[in-house]
Amino acid sequence: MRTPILPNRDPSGIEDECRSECLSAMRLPDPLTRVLKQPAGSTNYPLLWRRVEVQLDQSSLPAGLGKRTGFGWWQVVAASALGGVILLLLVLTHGGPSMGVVENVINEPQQESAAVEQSLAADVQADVTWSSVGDTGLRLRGGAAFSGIEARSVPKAVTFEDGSSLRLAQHSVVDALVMSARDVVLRLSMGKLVLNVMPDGVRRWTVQAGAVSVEVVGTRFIVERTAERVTVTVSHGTVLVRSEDLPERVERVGAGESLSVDIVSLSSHTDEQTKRTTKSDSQPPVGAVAALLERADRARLQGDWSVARHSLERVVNEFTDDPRAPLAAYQLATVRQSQGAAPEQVAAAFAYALRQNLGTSLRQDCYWRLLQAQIASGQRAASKETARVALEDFPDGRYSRRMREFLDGALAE
Amino acid sequence: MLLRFSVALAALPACVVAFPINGTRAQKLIESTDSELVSSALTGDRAAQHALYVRHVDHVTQRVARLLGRSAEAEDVVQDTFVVAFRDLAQLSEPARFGGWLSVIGVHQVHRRLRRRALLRRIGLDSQTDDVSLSCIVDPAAGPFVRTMLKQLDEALVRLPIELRLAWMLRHVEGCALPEVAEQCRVSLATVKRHLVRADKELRQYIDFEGNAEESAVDQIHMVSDRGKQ
Repeated sequence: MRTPILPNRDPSGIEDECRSECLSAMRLPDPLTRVLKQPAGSTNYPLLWRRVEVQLDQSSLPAGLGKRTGFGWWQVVAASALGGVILLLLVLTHGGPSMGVVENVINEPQQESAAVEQSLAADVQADVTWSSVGDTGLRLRGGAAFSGIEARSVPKAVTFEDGSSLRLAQHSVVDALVMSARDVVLRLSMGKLVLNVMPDGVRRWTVQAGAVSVEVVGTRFIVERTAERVTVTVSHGTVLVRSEDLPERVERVGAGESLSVDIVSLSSHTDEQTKRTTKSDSQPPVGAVAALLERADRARLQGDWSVARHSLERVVNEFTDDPRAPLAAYQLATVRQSQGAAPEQVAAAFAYALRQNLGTSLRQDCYWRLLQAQIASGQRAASKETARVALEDFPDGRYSRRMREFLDGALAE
Repeated sequence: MLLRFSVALAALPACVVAFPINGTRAQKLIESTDSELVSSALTGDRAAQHALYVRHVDHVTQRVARLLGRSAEAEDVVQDTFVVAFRDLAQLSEPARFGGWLSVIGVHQVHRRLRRRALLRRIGLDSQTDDVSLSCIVDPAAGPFVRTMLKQLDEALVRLPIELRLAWMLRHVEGCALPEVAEQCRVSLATVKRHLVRADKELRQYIDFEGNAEESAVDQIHMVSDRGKQ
């Protein structure tokens, strides 16, 4: 039954103007509000207001006068030039920002354990990575920028300029995804971190551990990530843990409490069945591929491309002989496309999928998407070849007309 | 102990902590029009600013979240929106239209955030997920077909240039009238019409690129529920 197109809220009387043919073709109402639910309001409105207040106070002007107590342009230029000279002098005398980081870490106050002190004396320079984009509103004590740290054989620790501190257990890796004036987002790729966030701060701290995120304002907590599970333990304060694997997708964890989230939902299988296998090993664990594909489907429907990609890559790489692997390869290519990957990468992904044993319908889709990606990446010769092969394979296929038009146009050039 | 007390204090609503408002004043603020609150806010009255904030924050947050597709970024944008609004409040020529003016600032902030996101995506540093995309906020009663269509629409919208995407979403998702869309996008009515036509055309091309909408939806449903036959 055709979905009735409702009149929009346009009070000007030009209701039919600029109606969406796309929505009509998709049999969706225009506007879409009829099929959308209202997103839940944020519980952070009071905190958000405090941040607004802080920013208004920091701007140092009576609200509403609309005029900054700013500087003239020549003063800005002079300040920039002076800043550049100072920076140049710092680089020449101290050898660059990396030394600042080493000094900052080495000058940390005495820690509880001897192992941490030992790590401070270790060669940390090679472990610290630098971000090339994004502002670094929050810096380490001492003024150096922070974008990540890896603890190898010994634990590591850093303190930020606002008094918050981060400690990594050995064999742990943390990247800073965002370090702005309002947000700090850290990614725990592996291992364990202890985070002590100063309360009453204006920043929102978030730790991402795979598909689990932990949000905090003023507290101390531990996040531990293994291949199968993420565990959050709170010492002081409260955190919000978000994961699609939680019943309500979000859980509040208070002081003295702990929450564990399984990363891959294979709970219906025994430990023996969920062991990882390689191509040369015996048959893949029963249900493991199905569980991974189901997880990928859920993630795709939610637009969580990272989780979808990870799950599909596991199927493609670890269960190559499974009959569902070609489908996973095709879906992986579409996920790469949805992620906004470079056209060359998308083309490579679809080319790989084409080499698998895809069904007829998917094979046609795959040819068409590969052609589009090759055109987008400027691979003219390859795109012509793809169109030629596709037409040989499917002379009367779904995209044959357009492929012929493309080839005719390409050959005419 | 001090740390725990500080944490508890931080959790209290800001209006209680920041200034003690008696019931009469609070009631007066609630009953004031936007015009009256703007006039008070212009004199530096923080309580009036807060009243404006409370009155409009939910609407702004909902719109910003839908336009951005991400709740994590929405709060940042909403924060920036209110800071800019209160900072530049003297430029508002019609105090009664504070809500609409706030929305214009919000859309502009969304535009900036989307430009930044596009840059991060190009260099592979965009790792956040869209948790408020159309397919994520679909009414459960709408059915799987609608959800699948919206999923395709989400994928197509991401490919549009930012100006076209915002104009299209303001018109066809938020349901704004054309003059309102033009105002929020800060372009002329003629330009917004061109944007809408071009956006719709590009979306249709993308949907056609999938084969056609129905076929791709069927394929997706088969992928989810019928793996063994592949």
